[in-house]
Amino acid sequence: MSSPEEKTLILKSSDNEEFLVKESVAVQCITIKNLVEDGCDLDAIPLLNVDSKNLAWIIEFMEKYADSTSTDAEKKDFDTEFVKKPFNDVLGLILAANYLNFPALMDVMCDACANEMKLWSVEQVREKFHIQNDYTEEEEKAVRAENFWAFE
Amino acid sequence: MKLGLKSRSRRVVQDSAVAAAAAAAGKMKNSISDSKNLDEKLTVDYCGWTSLPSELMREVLMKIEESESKWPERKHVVACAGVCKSWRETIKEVVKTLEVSRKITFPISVKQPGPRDSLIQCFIKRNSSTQTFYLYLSLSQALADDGKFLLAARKYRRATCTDYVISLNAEDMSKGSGTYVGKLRSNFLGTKFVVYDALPPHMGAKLAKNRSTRMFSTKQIFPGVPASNYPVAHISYELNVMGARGPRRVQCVLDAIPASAVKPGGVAPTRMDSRVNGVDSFQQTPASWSTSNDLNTALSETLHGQSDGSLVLRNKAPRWHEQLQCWCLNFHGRVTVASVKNFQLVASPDSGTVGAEQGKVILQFGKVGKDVFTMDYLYPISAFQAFAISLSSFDTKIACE
Repeated sequence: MSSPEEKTLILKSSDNEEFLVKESVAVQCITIKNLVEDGCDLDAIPLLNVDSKNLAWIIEFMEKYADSTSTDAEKKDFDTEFVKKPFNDVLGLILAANYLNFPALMDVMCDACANEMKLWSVEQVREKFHIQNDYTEEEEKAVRAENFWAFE
Repeated sequence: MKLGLKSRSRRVVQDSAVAAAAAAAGKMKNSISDSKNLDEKLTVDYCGWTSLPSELMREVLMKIEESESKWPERKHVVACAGVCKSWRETIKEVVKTLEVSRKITFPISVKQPGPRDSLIQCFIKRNSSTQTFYLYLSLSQALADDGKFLLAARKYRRATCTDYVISLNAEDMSKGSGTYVGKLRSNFLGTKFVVYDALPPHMGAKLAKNRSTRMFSTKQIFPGVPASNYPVAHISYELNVMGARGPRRVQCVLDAIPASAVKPGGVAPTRMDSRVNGVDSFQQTPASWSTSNDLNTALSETLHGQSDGSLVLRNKAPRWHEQLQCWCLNFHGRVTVASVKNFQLVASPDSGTVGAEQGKVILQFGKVGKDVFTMDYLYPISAFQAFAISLSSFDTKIACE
């Protein structure tokens, strides 16, 4: 049972879904914290850059991390399961965590992204990030020699 | 959805939630355009985010660099730099020089001065049948077990001298390849050696006698074109006053390092890019060196340094142990087999080093097994210079009785 002072916020995703979240949980996102402090929480707080899919995940993460009874080991296990998402969703959560200024989520998702990348070849990384290879043929040769040395 | 003249109003009516939201926002006047925008947003697939803005990409790359500080995992940091030029720039910013980070990362690390207060521990394995020497960075406490390959050297005996060609690729020792790093050349008697670097030395070094000499030869921009050879160190071996009965004396003049480097507040030139590999040479930065992060300071420091000469290293004289009847040096457990090849180099007393710096061992080399040797070095020399100096110890004929 929530105490009388325990305020609930309405967070609205970019696709207009509304989520009820306790203020103490939601303020882990510094963007939301600032809005609350500025008194902008009277109605639903519109989060224009976060869709309902991502917001639902973020709330799930926030609630786990706000829970004082969960141990570090439990959080780690939670993180391990939480990051098991398609790579594009991992990137989406990084962008959302950045927009919401949520350091704990940012940390976990960047770690997840980094760990994924380590499994890929240079070509695969370029593909997944849609990066254009801007090395010339000569430079590419030197890159390969550098990698040959590193992977020796 | 039916298309037609009334399609716009249809959209507004059909999607009442959207209309309600627009109304709630108090923008009735613009509700049509607002709802159109919202409609567009609804149809955008948020899974279309397939790239990160550069600031966030930097966060991820920093994670990779922080989490992979040891080899072989550190290869991922190098791999990331190979993805594209902006990633390379970010990674290079994040990865500090060897002196600062104490971590070997890119091949250029073998040409950078070691850390000031902790030895970089390496080992060398000799393959006598192929006359090849392999330098590894030690990865464990074991003397010569787990290692990350750094450099290879192959001995070529010529008519009047011997060359040890040093390369980043043990399978490609040709001077024309992009992996050629430098060489050690000995005179016929094996008493004097010169270390040559494939890349030009720092502009403050004594070698750049001709001020108008271009530091960046266009030939070196393209890997695969034979690099020039720049002398960067001179080594000489002598018998000591006791002749062949005593330990030999080694003197090493490091032409590319000013003597001031080992004085309090001194700095050593640090190469930032590896032209031999070719990749970074495409950044047309005016200087590929740094003696500090500030380029201006670097220039003034080297000009100042030029006036006080090159750094000279001498071997630490062993003490005669009367009871054991042998010459002794304290290798702190890093050398386990007695050999005339073993040595410790310290900055020569004439360098003006004071106090604790005076006896500091800058390079230590010694035998631990039949074809296995440890090699430890620290600031201001690099792995390449340490390796070359150690190779000379294999070759010299002085006091081999």
